[in-house]
Amino acid sequence: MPQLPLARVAWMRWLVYPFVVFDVLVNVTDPIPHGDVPVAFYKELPVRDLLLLLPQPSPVYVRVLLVVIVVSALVAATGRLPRLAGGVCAIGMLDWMSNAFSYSKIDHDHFALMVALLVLPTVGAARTDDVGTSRAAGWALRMIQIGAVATYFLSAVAKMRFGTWLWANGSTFVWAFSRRGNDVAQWLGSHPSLVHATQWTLLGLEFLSPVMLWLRGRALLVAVGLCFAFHATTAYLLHIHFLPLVVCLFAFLPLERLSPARPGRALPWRPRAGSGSPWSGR
Amino acid sequence: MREGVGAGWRLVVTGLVVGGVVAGSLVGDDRWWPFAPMAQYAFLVEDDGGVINSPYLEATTVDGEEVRVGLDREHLGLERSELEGQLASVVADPGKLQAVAVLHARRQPELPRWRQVRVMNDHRVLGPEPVREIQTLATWDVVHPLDPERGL
Repeated sequence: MPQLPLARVAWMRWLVYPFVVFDVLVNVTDPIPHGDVPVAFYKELPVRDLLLLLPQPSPVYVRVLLVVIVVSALVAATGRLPRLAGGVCAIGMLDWMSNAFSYSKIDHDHFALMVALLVLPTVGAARTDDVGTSRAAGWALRMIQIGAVATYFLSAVAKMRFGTWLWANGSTFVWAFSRRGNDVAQWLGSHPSLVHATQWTLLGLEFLSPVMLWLRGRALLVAVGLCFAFHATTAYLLHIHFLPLVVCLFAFLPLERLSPARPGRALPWRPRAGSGSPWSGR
Repeated sequence: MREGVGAGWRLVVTGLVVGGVVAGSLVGDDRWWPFAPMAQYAFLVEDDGGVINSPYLEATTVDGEEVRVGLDREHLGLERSELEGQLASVVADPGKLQAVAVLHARRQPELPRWRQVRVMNDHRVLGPEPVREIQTLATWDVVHPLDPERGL
């Protein structure tokens, strides 16, 4: 396990937990209207059986759950009670998301976020002005990075499994553009060779994504920047933003440099001149 | 010793998470979530002969008005993709649309109730001579239109 800065964990908590609040209040609000949906459309995921949540959640239940998630996330963001508040938030989000996905629509944009919620509480105390590193922080940050990379790489694997190698020369993006694309997407969809080029590019980048786990310095910055650009493009063309994954990409970045230096104290995570910054945890 | 214990359980969790999501991607399905395959947009639509279906809902209100139903969480409370996920069972058993009429009554009580609900489909076939047609996939006359809960 690599030694990584505790300060980066604290910064990730400041990003991930407030995002959870945004997620349940704005992004994935489905469990609230799901409280009104008759049981005929409720197809509970097996993971809910493991959580002993067999009955379809009632309108009152989901509203109480919403409050529990918001409060625990706000507490965890500040770094107070990191294990308790973070643990409650993780279980609450597992309940919330599995509810959202128990009506026959499953998205794959939350895998890295669920991993982040699972591992962040395990680090224990961490402050943005911490100057130390730890293996616990290294493991948690590495797991979030693996969760993000797995989302990309396994997307390519799924394309090969369900779409075969013919996928990139097909019209899957035309399908997406025609259903929810803006004017630019419609124009793109009317040029098959451009669609094929875009699909090949995406497939190639997804297959190459594990490289991010070994990149350093500027190369890693470029790779993360490419990911951000890709998600900005899909948000513009299709209104699909993958924000839960985007938040987790920050685990690759040296967030600890945001912490103000304290007089007289060394910053051991700062690389010496000429050395590679261990951003990705190698 | 303590360091070793910490490393041990972390190794186990790493194995479970990575092993779970890899297994889900190779042999699992949506119901494996959170280890479901990353299957959004992973299907093949062929350039020639590929089919694009866009199902939607229509209803006739008790006032006789034809309306297109807002299939999203803000209006009906059920999204189009959620209906699509259960489309086969709805087509096989249109009686499930009674539940949709109930949902409409619960979520939008200020709007007129429905007398009939229809699942429609904008069906397109890609190719040099593309085909496009509107299909009716399922029709349901709501039981007790003014109080559909009684018909559940």
